Amino acid sequence: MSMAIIQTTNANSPQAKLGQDMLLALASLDLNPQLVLSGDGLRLWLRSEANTVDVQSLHKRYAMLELFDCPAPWVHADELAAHGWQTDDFIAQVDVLDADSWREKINSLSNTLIY
Amino acid sequence: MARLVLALHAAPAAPAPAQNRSLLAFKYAQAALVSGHQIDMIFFYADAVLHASTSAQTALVDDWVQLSQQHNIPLVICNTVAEQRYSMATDALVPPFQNGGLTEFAMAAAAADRVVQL
Repeated sequence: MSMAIIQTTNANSPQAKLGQDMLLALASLDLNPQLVLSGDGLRLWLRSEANTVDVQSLHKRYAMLELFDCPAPWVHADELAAHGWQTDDFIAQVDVLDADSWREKINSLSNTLIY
Repeated sequence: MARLVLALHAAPAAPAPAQNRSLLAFKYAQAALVSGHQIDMIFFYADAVLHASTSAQTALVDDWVQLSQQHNIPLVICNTVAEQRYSMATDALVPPFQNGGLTEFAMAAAAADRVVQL
């Protein structure tokens, strides 16, 4: 069964840590959860946000996704463009989707948890 | 008929706009069971761990307990959240709420046909 975690809050919200804990728990059981970053959730992966211990801790834990062979998180190209962010601004590889791909892939998700 | 796992995130007496989420989840669970679906677990995460607190009992929590007992559905709370965020005494939960964690939830989710977050 495929699972997706959608993160929409920044590191100041308790939801960010709750969502990451859920993401890593699913990953640790080889469920290969798909992370989707949108809204303020995009800031969770920005290198420039790593100016507090809490964010640095989040970044280190996100690095574990690669160890679990999880797919790169989906991000919407329009959101990156609106902020002027490039893929190099993120702590690891992200999968940039255009509007059509985003719609298609989001519609394909059957089990999602939103934080 | 599907095997379901429900993940509830709101407290039983949550402030607006989440004030009805526990009731909505309860009604959803009732409807799913009436429709012949199986609920493998109801997982109480985030603020929802307060359902198992002895100091936060409401009629709705009593309804959850009754539903669990009637249909043999485990009511599992995330004890890490309960202890760290709410300093709950997790050795004295309202029965039949039981301690668990994200691993238990993930295992149940892996075996289910559908996970529903409420």
